Amino acid sequence: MARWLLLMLALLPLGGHAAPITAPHVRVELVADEQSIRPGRDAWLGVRFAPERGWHVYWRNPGDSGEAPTVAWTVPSRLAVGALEWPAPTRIPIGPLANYGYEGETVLPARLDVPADLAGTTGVDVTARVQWLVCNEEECIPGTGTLGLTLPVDAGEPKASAAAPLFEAARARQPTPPPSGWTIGATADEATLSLVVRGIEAPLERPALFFPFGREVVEHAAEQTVTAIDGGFRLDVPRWMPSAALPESIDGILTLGERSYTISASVSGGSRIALEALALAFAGGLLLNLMPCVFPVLALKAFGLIGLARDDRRQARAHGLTYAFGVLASFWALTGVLLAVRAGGEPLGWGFQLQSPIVVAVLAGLFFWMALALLGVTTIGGSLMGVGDRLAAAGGHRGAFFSGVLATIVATPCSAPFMGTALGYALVQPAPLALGVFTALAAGLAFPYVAITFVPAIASHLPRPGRWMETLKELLAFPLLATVVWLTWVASQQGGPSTVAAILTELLLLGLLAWITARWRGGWSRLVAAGVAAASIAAVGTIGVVRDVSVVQAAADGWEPYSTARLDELLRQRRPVFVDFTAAWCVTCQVNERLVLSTPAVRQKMRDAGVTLVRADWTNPDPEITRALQQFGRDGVPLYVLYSGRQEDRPRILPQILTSDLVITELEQLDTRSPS
Amino acid sequence: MTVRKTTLATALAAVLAAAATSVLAAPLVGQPAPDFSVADTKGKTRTLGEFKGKRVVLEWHNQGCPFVVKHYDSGNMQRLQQKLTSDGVVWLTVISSAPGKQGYVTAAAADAYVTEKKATPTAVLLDGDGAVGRAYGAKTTPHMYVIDEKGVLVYAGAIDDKPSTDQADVEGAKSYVLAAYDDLKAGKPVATASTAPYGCSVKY
Repeated sequence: MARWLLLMLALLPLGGHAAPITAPHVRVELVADEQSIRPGRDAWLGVRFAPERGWHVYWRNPGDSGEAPTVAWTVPSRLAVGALEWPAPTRIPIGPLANYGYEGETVLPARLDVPADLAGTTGVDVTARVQWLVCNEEECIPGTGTLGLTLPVDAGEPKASAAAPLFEAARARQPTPPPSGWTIGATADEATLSLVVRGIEAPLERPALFFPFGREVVEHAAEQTVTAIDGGFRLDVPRWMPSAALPESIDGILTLGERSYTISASVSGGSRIALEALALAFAGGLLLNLMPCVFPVLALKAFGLIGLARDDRRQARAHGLTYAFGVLASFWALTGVLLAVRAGGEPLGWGFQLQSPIVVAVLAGLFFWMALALLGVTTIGGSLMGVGDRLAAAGGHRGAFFSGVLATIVATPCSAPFMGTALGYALVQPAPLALGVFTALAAGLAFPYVAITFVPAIASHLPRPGRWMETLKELLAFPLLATVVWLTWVASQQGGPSTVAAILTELLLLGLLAWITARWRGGWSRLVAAGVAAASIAAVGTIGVVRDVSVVQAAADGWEPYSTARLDELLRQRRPVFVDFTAAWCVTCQVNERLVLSTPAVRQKMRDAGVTLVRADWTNPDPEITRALQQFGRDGVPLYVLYSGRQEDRPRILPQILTSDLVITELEQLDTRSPS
Repeated sequence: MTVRKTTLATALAAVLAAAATSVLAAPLVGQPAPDFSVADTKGKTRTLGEFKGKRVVLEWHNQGCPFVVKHYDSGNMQRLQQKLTSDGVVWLTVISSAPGKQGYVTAAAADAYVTEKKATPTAVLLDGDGAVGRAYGAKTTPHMYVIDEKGVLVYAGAIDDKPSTDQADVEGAKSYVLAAYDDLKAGKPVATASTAPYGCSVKY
């Protein structure tokens, strides 16, 4: 008898186990990976399924048929159970169909949040109401049951339970975020969805298979083909319904051999989206005309047309077209550089020009010179802007062409709100489409001037020439000078006081140069002018050499600097996170920060919602941030991303132009379960 | 001559191999529904063509499948059949299970099931060789199709938006079939024309 008792005791489950349910073709059990619970340390619970050979249970997306298991947890009020963390499934062919599921013994783990203060609690009762469907190729049997487990609370180091190896196996098959070096894009046409993964250094592990979270994404049973491309591979998967609407983003997991990665890639492609991007780019180009850096140039060129005789119309048209060609050619050159550098594997985004303080200094000098020309201090270069001259004197076709080039150069610092999206899209596209988007942008920029030269009605509505033109011309110098102030401020963020000093010296020398060239002509003055110009260039050159390395970004103020590791850590802790991708030279970003993100109301709401603020400052080149931007299908700032802290939620991407109301509404929808 | 035969045989083999490995290719919603010719439980040959001018619903069926059980034991399927057939709709229940597999039944057993469940289909089609199922790309039981009076497929997919075997989910589920039929009746294009079907795999 005593022996029987002993035997029964031995068979009694130790901590971490409770009676399993033996259902037809599957055993189901509630397990924990440790034998006890330690206050303040998260524990892992899991539902163990052990189907008979030839039978399977399902993944979160069951595929063509079947049903995912569901688990409803009951735990004491101060504890909370997270969502099931599904290990990577296998694809199970069923005749002409395919299912996603688990054929062997599997644990579906879920995290148990354990508060530090569990005073007076000796044990934690967990119950799970589980529903499942177990199938083989022939039949399916639904099951349901309530499982219980009592875990003792113990301040000591918990011991691994008998189920720990199963948890270990589930962890090994748990999809992880893709390595930070990868960029993942998705394109789709009528019939095929393609995932493009780049940045893989190791040889491709096979098989490569994509498992979507949604049921209406791909044809589950269809063959997925892998094609090696430069620096990665492309996975082509037939779409679920060729005629169905294109999903906004592709979410699921990608398994490569034994590893699997969570994928969330925004979809580009399809003629509709391409057209949208082209339209957006054109609108962005139009808008650029109104930016303080471009408007003065364009306004003056338009005045050049005032009062043209009928005979001059043809010439005006030719002039307009040449100007447009100048804009197009400059954009093509820029696109060519971008595509070439990207093909070389360097991640590069829109706005890259402004990440170099030397480029910023050169632009500041250019704007300063243009302002001097408008104020009448110098005449050199003025003709490009059409200052004071009639068309015929404006340097002919060559002049018109370089006006276009100038317009493009001065437009680059002003990234219009629309441009981020369109250009981000363009840069992950095949070269012809990228070129198309940049061409649309150029066309938008050139359009108003060309329209004026082609439609006499517009020109005839312009006021008669007179003294006011001279006044306005001088007035327009000031937006340009404002741009100089802004560029200098940008450079101060990048290189600190010595860079500012270098730029101011450059401007001083340019002023001197303008004065000398206007005051004296020929002879020795040319020599002096050349000397001053060289000194000005040298001043810019010092930026490359003397640069304050320790520029402290305005971190503090509740914002943490961005790093992939830090973001991953926060997300693992299930904290809501707001990431602000910004740069000092991005005007939209600065406006959003001043008018929305730093207002007391928004800051208070952020604190109330327990949101961690992370700032990804892209003022200087940062490959980590560039890659993060690319993961959201962007190639420029601003980008605002709000993570709810729940793993099952996709991050919310806020619009590029923020309002306080919008941000507050988003925060209210967070429904945060504040971390203990 | 021999060469030609070999070529022909190779081509045939290739076609057969392709057919064997290919996934079910579903007809597109908005296209004419594939015609068929198959015996019903009364021994009568049924074709889609004979119902020209009427609206037709196809229901893929397997009485052993827990998803089908959910809709018949809750009375959901019968209510839908009753509602639509009394409105003049032709309701065809199709059984594509191969002989020996789950859901395969004799004509008498199929009729007995209809009587027992108080179901009211216009006819039950015995598609043991799976020809109709494959023509429609039927994946699951249930898998539902709605065809308009011109013979055009206007809906293909799930019966409703609650993919489960739980009878409690019938209440409050949105019936895609009913919604498609209502749109059709109102002369509007079907708003939700295709969804991913759910259920057991069809036992071809």
